[in-house]
Amino acid sequence: MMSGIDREEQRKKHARFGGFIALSAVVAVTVLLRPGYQWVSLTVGVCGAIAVAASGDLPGPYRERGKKRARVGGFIGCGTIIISGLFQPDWQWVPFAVGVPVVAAVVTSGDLRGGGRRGHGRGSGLSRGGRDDDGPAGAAHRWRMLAMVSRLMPGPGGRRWLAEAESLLSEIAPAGRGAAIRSYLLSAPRLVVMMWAREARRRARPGPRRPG
Amino acid sequence: MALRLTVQVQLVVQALLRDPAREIYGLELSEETGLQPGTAYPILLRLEHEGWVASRWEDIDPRAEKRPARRYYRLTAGGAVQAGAALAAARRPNGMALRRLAGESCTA
Repeated sequence: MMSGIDREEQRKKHARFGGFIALSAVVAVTVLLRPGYQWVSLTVGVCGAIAVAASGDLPGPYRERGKKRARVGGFIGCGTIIISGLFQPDWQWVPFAVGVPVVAAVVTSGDLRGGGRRGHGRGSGLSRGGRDDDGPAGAAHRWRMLAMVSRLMPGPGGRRWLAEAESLLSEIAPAGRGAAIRSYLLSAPRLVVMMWAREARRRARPGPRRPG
Repeated sequence: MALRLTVQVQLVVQALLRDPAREIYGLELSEETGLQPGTAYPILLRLEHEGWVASRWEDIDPRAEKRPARRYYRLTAGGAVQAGAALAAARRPNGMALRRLAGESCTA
């Protein structure tokens, strides 16, 4: 039987696939049939494809879905404004003046939670204490973050890191789980560098390769 | 690259040296050392790369046990000797510190 998270993942996958097909169709049709509007298709297509691709990995419990859609829409809209401004030399400053701050706001708003500003008040993301009160959706969100980070590591190293984190988090007391996850996420950048440095040394070594 | 014996590394090595033959897993280690699991993991990985520590996955059926397998760590024979020596060296005051102390006592 499928769990709620699996169903959610599947819906997301279908949405991503649908978005990709729709955007590809828009781009292809405009490029082929309306040569004068190639820049529109190019802009919408590129921004849309990036947004769709990126949104696939965005952490997303149910209540975050609307926010995520708004972000994707905002990204496409602002990207279109900015790039289209490049084609109107007299008005280039407008899209830059408006678009860049809006894009920055839209991108950073992805990390806002519970109405607090990042790093202030209740805190957010890694700065917030605990976060064990947000139920299964929160747990899924945290798990996705760890999974996302593990993908930045070389394959076997990332899988081992994630498996070990999963093992440990399943046994740790709920009160300490938030802090443990934060410690995993905070130490991850150093670990990514360390693992890739080791991987590079391993690959540079002459002779038969051994699995990492 | 030589292993830098920071305070955290020393804590992990001390915990492993308490009983070198004992296998220890991440949560146990973080409880003994007071380090967060995310802090202890890179240290264990570095110790493993240096050959001081060996690790293995626990051989269990996760469904039967209703928990994922643990990763167990233990000191290797060579690692125990090296770790003991490194820890002793880290505790010994270095030459520069002794000279500074000597200088301070002369001026006083």
